[in-house]
Amino acid sequence: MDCRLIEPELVAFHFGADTGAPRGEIEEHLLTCPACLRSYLAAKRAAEAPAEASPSPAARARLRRSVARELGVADAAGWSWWERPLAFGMAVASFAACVAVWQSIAPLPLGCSDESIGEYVNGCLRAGLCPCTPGGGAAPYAPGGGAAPYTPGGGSAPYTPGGALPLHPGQEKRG
Amino acid sequence: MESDEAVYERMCGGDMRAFDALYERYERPLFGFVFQQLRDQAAAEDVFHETFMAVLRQRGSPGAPRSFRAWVFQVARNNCLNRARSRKRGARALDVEGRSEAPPASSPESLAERRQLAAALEAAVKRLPPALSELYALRAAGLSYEEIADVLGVPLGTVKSRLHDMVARLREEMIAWTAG
Repeated sequence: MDCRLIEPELVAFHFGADTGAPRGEIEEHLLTCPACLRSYLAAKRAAEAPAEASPSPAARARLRRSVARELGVADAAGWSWWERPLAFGMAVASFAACVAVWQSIAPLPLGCSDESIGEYVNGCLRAGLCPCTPGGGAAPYAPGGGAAPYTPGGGSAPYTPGGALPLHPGQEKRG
Repeated sequence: MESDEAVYERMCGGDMRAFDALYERYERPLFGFVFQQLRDQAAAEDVFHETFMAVLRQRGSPGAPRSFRAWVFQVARNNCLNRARSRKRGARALDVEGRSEAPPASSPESLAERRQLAAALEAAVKRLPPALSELYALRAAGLSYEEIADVLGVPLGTVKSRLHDMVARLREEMIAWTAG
């Protein structure tokens, strides 16, 4: 079969319509002639080209919202029976990780009393470390250049829970 | 595989996963059909949106369609026609009707031979009368003769004769292209 006779029939062949030549002959020719087979595939692609177009992701999201509103359901994709506990577990694990990180940065026991905080602060001060410094208080607090614990008004009294709050330098005492 | 009708029923029941499934099935063929009719991405997206919403709003209405696919394409076609009419009205109002909206044809000279054939076919399809061009788009979207008949609201015999006419025209064009 002549290749020049085949080419005009390719579209009809693709659409399954009546062709000028018997379909069997065209099929047989396409199997033996690479050039016509390439032409057929090109015609097929061209015929199917409109189907390659697709709406943008934004259009899809907009439509999804509209459909959800019309149906009166939540827009977010629903979670299946196994996704829900998994999400809950992930949330708990994230919270635990946050707590662990916080503990490693500031190793204060949760729910500690005023006394234990006082001891902790004084211990830090005795060691020449400022507990207020993020990262464990590596910067030594040394009022006046020394390594002595902080004493409001220049005294040497350590921090006493329940006592008067220490004053910052330059702050006047009330009453 | 679950039928389109069953997925549609689930979607109407509020299952958004069914919407996703239906969207995946119709995204390319339906949008391709609409895009070929309008040749405008934004307009095609609007019509696609309107079509989905119209199909959803008509849930539970009497006279269920014989085929969901045919119904969806029918709604899309009507929306395309409405859009084309309003566009024409707007064009008249602006007195710009004389301007052609057809995109420029690609230059097959610069392409390989198989691309030339594809370009020639594309150009031939663009020269088809609207009725046949529409038929081509529906067939390219994968609709059966029966579904096309449903969409267009014409007898099956009319679809076959139009398809025959369409193929004959394309064949003439392709013979001319081959001879040239």
